[in-house]
Amino acid sequence: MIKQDVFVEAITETIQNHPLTPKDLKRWFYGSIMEGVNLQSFTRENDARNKVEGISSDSFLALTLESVVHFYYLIKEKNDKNEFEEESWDLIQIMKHPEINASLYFRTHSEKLIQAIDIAVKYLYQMDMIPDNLTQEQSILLNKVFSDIEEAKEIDKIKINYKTINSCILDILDGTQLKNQRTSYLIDGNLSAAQDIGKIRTNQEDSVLIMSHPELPEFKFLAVSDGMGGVEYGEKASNYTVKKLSEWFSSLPKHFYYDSTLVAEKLNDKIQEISQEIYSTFNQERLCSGATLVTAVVTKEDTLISNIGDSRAYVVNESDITLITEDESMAYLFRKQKGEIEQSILDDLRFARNGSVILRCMGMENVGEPQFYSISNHSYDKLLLFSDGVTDALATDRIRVIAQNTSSSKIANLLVQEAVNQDAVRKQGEDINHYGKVVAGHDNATAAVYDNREYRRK
Amino acid sequence: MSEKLTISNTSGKSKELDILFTFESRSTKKKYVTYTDYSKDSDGSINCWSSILENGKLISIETEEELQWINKILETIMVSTKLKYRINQTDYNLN
Repeated sequence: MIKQDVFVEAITETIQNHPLTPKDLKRWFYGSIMEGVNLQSFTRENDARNKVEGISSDSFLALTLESVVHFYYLIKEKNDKNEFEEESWDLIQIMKHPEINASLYFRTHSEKLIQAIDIAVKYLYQMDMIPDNLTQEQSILLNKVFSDIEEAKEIDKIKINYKTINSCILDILDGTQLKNQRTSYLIDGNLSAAQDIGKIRTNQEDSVLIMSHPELPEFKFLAVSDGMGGVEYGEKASNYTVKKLSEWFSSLPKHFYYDSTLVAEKLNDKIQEISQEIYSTFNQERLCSGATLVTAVVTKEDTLISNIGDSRAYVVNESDITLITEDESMAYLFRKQKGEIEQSILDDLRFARNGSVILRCMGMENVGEPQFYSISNHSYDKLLLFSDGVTDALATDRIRVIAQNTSSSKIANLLVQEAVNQDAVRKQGEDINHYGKVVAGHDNATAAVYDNREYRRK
Repeated sequence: MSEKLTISNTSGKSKELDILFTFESRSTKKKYVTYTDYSKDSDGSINCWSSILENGKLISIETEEELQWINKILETIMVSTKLKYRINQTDYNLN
């Protein structure tokens, strides 16, 4: 076993002799922990490479976690408020937990590993690596972390079935999702969702699904479906839609991950089939059950987005927010025909008089092909799906600010809470068609978020 | 990994269960499997069971150490979800 200080010296030597950017360093750490160490990545200077021969990915993990511990106590001591404070506090709570093996945790929750590496790299670049004095609390914590790493060496070839640990699917299956006043889900580190019934409605008609493929955790599926407002059985249509989609995605052969065109074909068939089933189950007599549907499938190279109705998909990166889908609503169609659809106009639609009339929904006979979009996984950091309870209440730029500046597991919750608690108001000005007030919490609000930063880092 | 296990109870009735996770031990070289039928007990915890998988057959786990390991893995995987799972003594006929 290589001594930690020899390893740290070799890392320092490498950083000093090669122009590694923080991004390069993060990639190096992430790859070394998750996929194994490549000795060639160490510098030959001062014999550094030879000294670390036989090194394992445990050393990279140990250094990462050690740096987070040092960083956390440093900012605590300085009372230094910064963007990493909250994240490092979260990570420290995990490391301290007596029932949790920290090594296993970070290897099975890759989004948390990325957070840890972010902090560690910041620390490695800015400060001396090993502080002179450790507090007693700090030493106890470090001992626990190192013994967790030793202990976890025992575990080999761990495989987790990501369907069985999914609280979102279980809530869909037993119907509790439609009964909760307020709920949130965090699945597999980088998928999260939140819902709120709002202040006026008495039932939750939105349904949300976030899941990883049972045999391939990086293969993701997200869906938001908004049971049509006031329509009887609306929630049944949305619940039925996501339930059927969860069965569909679970049973999809895992090689589909490598081919988004195949996924699009199958998803297109499935969506039309589900719509037809809702039509024949609920609607032939009553003609009154429907739901919107926006979905996203994360495959190896691309993210595939589909849409029916007026729920929306956005992507966010460091600088921008982009709306991917088109609303299938009267208000949107009207503006589009006038050639007016731009980012800024979208915020006006919230105040449009015919804003909530939609042109197409799940539950129609012959609903037709959904809108399909394919976007490169290299092009975005975070993917957001919303029911109109969120997008009617919040301006696009507000969504962007929250999405860019919040740790990803909290974005969905924060957006939904703001959407149901703050009125959106626009005074009558030059625009006589788009003014008024969107009363806070008048509708159910749902958000689903996928954090893609891990992918971009690879 | 196959996601499902089929198990028969003492009266010969078979039941399909979902696998939660599998892993191997470097020291004992055994393969462990933890599975669930999603049934809930009185406090809302989801019932699950663990066994050793050997040549396609399930064998009861007997040592306290192995059970502690499995509990720790379960806690670690579940920490970010709201779900509560509880490992019970095997009441299925494993042969």
